[in-house]
Amino acid sequence: MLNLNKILTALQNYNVHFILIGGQAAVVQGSAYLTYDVDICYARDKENLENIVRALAPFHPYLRGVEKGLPFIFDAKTLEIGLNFTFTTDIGDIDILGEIEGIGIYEEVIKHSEVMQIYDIPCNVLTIEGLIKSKKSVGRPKDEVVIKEMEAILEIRQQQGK
Amino acid sequence: MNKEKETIYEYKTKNAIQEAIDYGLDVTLLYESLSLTPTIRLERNLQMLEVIEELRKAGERKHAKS
Repeated sequence: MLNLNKILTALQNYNVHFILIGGQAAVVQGSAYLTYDVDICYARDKENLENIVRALAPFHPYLRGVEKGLPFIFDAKTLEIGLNFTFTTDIGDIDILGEIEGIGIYEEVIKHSEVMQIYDIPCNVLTIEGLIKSKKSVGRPKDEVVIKEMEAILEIRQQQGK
Repeated sequence: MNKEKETIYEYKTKNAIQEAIDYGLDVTLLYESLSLTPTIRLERNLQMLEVIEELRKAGERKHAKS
């Protein structure tokens, strides 16, 4: 079962530069939809890759949907070779993305983020506008409902003066 | 907020609530969610996932017996 508190705490403790994106970011921003995994966009510099490994290795990340027992080494080199990874871990499914469609790499995504307190942890979270931009770019039918919801949340916030 | 950003913001949100209702969304859930802190929103999501997991297991048990 997903333990978001543990995931965010681990990333914070190892000073990982990341932005909460995807469904959990939508929930943080007010979405009423249920979401099962955690998506983050991460910085690709060497130090950050090493910090990600230090933070998540204790939870035994393994490639989601891949047959068990295949040789997989969760280290900075592996992260450097790839870009976007979908992991299953002891504390839930985590997707770590080096780039998100419609916005770009971490250095661009951070411009579309805001700091929010989650479990008393200051986290960079993709803004509603950023979520809409990304989901519109992907263009999946399942995202249409989320886009409608996000746009409604923007209007509600506007009405409430937030 | 500068003028250009304000214009884009207003454009995006014009009639969005009504569009969401017409689309079939229950916007009362959004009002309720927005009244909570971000952490409580996440906690509620996780609690619901636990409920769904229990329901899924119940379904599996039922089908395993039949």
